[in-house]
Amino acid sequence: MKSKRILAALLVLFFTGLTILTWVQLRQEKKESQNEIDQKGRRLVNLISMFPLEAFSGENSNFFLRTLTESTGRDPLAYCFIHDGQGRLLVSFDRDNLAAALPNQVQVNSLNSLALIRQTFQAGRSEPYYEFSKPIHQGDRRVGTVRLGFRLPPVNLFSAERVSLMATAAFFMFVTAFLAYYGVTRAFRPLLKFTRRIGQTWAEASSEGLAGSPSGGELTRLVGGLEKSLVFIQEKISRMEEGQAELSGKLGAMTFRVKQFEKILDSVNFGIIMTDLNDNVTHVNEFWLRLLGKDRDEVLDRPLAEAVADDEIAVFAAQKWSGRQPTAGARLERAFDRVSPGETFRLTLTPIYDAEGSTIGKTIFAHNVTAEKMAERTRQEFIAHVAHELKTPLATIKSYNEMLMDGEIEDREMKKEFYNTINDETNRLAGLINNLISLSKIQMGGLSIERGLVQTDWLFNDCLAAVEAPAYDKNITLERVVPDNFPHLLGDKEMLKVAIINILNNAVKYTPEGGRIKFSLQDQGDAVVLEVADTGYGIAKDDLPHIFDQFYRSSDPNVTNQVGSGLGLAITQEIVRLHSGEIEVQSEPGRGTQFTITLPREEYQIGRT
Amino acid sequence: MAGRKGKILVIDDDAHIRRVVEVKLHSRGYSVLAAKNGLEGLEAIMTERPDVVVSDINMPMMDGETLCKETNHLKKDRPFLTIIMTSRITSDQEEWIKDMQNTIFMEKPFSPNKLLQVIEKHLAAVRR
Repeated sequence: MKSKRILAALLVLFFTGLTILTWVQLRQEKKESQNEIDQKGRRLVNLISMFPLEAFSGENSNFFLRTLTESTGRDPLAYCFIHDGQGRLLVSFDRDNLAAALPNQVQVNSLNSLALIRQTFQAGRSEPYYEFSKPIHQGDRRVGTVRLGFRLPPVNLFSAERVSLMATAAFFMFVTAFLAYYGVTRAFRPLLKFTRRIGQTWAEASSEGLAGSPSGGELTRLVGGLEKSLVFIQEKISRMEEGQAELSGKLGAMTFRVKQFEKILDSVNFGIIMTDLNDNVTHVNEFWLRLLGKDRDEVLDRPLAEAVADDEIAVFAAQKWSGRQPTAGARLERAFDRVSPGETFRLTLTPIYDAEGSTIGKTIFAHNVTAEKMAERTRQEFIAHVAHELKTPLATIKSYNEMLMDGEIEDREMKKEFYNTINDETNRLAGLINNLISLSKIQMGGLSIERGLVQTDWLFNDCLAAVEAPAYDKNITLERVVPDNFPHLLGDKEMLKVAIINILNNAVKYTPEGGRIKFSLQDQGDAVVLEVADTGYGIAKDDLPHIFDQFYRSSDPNVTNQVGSGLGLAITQEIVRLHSGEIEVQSEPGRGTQFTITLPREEYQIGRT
Repeated sequence: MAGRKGKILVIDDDAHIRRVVEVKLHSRGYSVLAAKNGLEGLEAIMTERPDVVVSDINMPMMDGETLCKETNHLKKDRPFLTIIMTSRITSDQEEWIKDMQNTIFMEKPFSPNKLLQVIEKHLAAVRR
């Protein structure tokens, strides 16, 4: 009777098990085929969208369809539609005659999406359809859309595979159930015996009047065994708990690390956006968010085109790859005038590769290149100036020389004039080259500066001597004002000479005939002050802030009528700076100009301040 | 004889350049006028109606580029040649010349003989 009940229970258990197994297997199968379709759909739609539109139009469409159906074979591909830019159908392959049954919204979504999308819908059958669609681009333009429809293959409950699997499972379950029945009855036999014996013992004990004190032997052993099992189970549980603690610790550490990386990305001074293969944003740092003027949630996990909301960047980021480089170029320079007016940013597009070398997404870096661009422009302007300044005397020398060589000049006086001009211009060229060399030496860090004791009386007289002749030619009076005792100075005498002579030369150049120049030196204890004051044309107010700029020349005719490179004062200022000194200028147009150079005597350092 | 062959205007803020062009062309029978800057040059073009203008680019008051643009419309009635003497190093700075009629570049340092040849060739073509 009892064994019959057990058998019935086992049978129920057996059929329940079989049903559960079938159900689990069906679910698994469905999931697998969904995954398979997902992978296949994405791969195929990506592949097709890479072809130019011509591959699908006219005669080519038949060839394409043949290739498609041959390569997909008995796959669950239900349909393939390729539209041109206006939404017209170029290719239509409709295995299930679904065209009419397709929900309109699916088509609208597909034709308007900016990137690959997947949609699911029901159309008559119980199993859903999956549509994968992606725009086809040519250059920057969207020229069409490819749409692929897949259906889940129908489930056959009595497929040969399933029947054989179920039969095997049934056999094993049956055998297991039988063995379990046998095993359980055997395993419980000692316990049954034991229970019987406890009963007997109790009966005997109570008949002998010993109730209340259980007989030691077997009971103690049984309790001891149970306790051992309990301890064992407890140990096992606590070990599992430890394992879980370790695991959650690891997870915490990993989350912390990800957060740390995000912090690092936020603190760098360039922008990073990362996307996955479907162009959805997976990472974005503060720098980019500032440029876009958006919050993180407005960008993260959104399609890139939507996140940046900027046509130029969206088109740039949607470039196709050929090999390691995007087809149109990996760089774009642009401004974000709303957030950083006047600055230029360089965007760089690079693919992200996985360990196997296949593309898994892309990165767009943004660098602020304003300073770089400014430096480049300054450099180009400098070179253009130098070229112009060098070529001007050269043009005179070459043309005058050609005239003399060709024997075009017969007049003796004119010949002399031509030779003199060539000589003057050669000197000018040499002077200019010297100036350029000084300037570049100074700008490279004053490598050639030689510190030494400078006797200011020698310095003063050397400078004055250099301008005596041209001043005499213009009938300009040179007035010298000096102290009784000339102080000493630490510095580079040759450099200081260049600096002061530049000022004196300018005074002579820009003072009309019959004028005066006062050159003075004062000892102020901790500093030596040199002053050059002339009664010249003076400097216009607009020009005053620029006179120390390289190559700056006033447009005043009194200046342009004189030869000059626009380098003299720039060099003077650099030399004074290297001596930790100061240079000042005061000027009144029509009255004259006064330059004051103050050079500290003590505690000065050679170097930039 | 001077003046019969044609009237040349040289505009340059560098006196040496004005001088050498003057001497060279004068000896070949041209009448040569000189101007020190673009503004003086513009005035001379209006009043003296030269056949050829030889002009520098970097000049005070008005530079060569502005001068060219200011006088371009005159060339419809009077096809005078403008020779721009430039010492700039990159030609991409000189894109503007493409929009100018009858205007060419000559690089500095230049050869007076080459300048003469260009002028003679132009005048011969105009007078044919």
